[in-house]
Amino acid sequence: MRGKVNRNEQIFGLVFIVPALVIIGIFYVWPAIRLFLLSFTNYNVMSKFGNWVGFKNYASMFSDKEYTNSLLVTIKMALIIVPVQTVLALLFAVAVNREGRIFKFFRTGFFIPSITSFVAVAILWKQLLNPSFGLVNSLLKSLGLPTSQFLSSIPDAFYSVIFVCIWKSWGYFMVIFISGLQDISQDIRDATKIDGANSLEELLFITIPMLKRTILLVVVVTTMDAIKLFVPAYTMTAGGPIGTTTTTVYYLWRKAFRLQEIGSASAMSMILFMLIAIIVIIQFRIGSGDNNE
Amino acid sequence: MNKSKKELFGKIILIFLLFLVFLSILVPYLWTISNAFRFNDEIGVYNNLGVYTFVPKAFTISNFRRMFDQLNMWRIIFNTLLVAFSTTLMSLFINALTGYALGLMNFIGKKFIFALFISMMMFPIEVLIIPLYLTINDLHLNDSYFSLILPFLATPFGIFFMRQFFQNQPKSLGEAAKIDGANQVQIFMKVYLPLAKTPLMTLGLLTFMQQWDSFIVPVTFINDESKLVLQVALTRLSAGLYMTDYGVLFAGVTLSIIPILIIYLLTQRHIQENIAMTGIK
Repeated sequence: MRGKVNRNEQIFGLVFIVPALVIIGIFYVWPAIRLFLLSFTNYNVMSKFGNWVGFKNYASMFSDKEYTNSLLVTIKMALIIVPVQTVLALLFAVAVNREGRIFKFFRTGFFIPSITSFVAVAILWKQLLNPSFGLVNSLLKSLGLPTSQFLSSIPDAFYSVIFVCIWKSWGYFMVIFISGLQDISQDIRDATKIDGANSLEELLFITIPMLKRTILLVVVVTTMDAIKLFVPAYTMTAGGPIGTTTTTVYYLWRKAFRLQEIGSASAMSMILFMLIAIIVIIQFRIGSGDNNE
Repeated sequence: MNKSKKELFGKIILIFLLFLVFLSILVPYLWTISNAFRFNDEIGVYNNLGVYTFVPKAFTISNFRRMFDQLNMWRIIFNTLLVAFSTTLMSLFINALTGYALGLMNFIGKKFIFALFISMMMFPIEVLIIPLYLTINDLHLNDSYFSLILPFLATPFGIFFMRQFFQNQPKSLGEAAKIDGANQVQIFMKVYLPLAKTPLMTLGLLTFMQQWDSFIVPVTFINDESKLVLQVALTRLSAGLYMTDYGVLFAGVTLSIIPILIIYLLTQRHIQENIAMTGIK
């Protein structure tokens, strides 16, 4: 009797995962294997043919100045976006996590850029930063401040892109932090108040330590997002001026789909994969820490 | 008394600061939307802060008319909604079914398959875009809706998320149903799937938003004008072959902002709660 039940579950269990197995197999596992193989070839899209070239793509990649520049740009962007965005999100989460309609209003408002598509945000800011008719320059002028060419000048273009990325996403992580804050029990807060701690002390010694896990997770996800940036380079700057805003995804995408250099672009994707793999492993370490609690 | 006065004062300062930040979000939207309703020669003329910065002096919907003339806009909206809705509905079912099997059923190979699925989280679309493009080509799916839908019908995150949910449901419910004569399909469809309303809402919302936002995939896979989706169409307006028609560009951005904004304002509590629930995307 028991054996029969198990057999039934064995069959249906496998049947139930068949659709996912097919999809993941064709569109994840096979492409992942293929990426690895492609990175050792000089594959050509037109002739659908490639020769095995060994480590040539990997070797030449790092003498490609534009590529190393794109890696550097990506890392520099991540190094600014991650801390600035995380701190902003946390501070505003603490600020708006209060009773009252006005704070609910702010919570709603700050989230709006998160539900706007990245392309729309990028175009919107490209126009706001337009040197001739953009609102930002007009504001600077009316305040008596120097104006800027923004997206076509160095280093303003780099910081403009970073600003737009943060403007779009900080509200999303604010919401994540608010849910973390609401898990901290009111008793602990009240006790701190009675002990005479001021707001700053409460933030530093109670809130931040209790939110440690959420903070780590937000840092991991933000880092992933920053490493994968593509839309702002494509939409706002075309990677310019002179590569200032060429992210690594934008560079390898252009190499593959504009210059048809599939082999070397695949090798660059493998580097991107390694960066992401490291971050995912860290993420799971943090996640498994959660289960032990 | 003194202390509460001080607290009130602090609160007013805080609200004032928050309001300034809110302005930095509101002003870009207002400026963009108002420009969508201006004639081209009025765009940028009234930039020094005043009434006309945010209200068109001469109101027009001609930008929207021109946009619908230049691009097959109804078709684009239809394509975008078709892809987003069909991906969301079908992927919800497949991810739930898989998460259920991996979370509540016992079968040989389960652990290996789960590990395989989860390890695919290390391959986001940006990493796989090149071999995925070649695979789509091999299957003769390029320039088809299928190229935008099929690869996303099962996702490592979706499976992981649904498995986490089903794993915590009592096995006894299924066993009771089995005694009443239900088969495995009925147990899933009638007993467990209805329990998953909340996580399905959450995952559905995230999937829909991701599909709506999706850019690198359609820009790579679709060249056929009749299969264009909204985000790619926007970049075409932005970097046209000829001089940019700014009125049309602002109209396009406005069109992509407004519907989602309305949905958000109507359901915003759910959206924020749901996103908080996933912990992280």
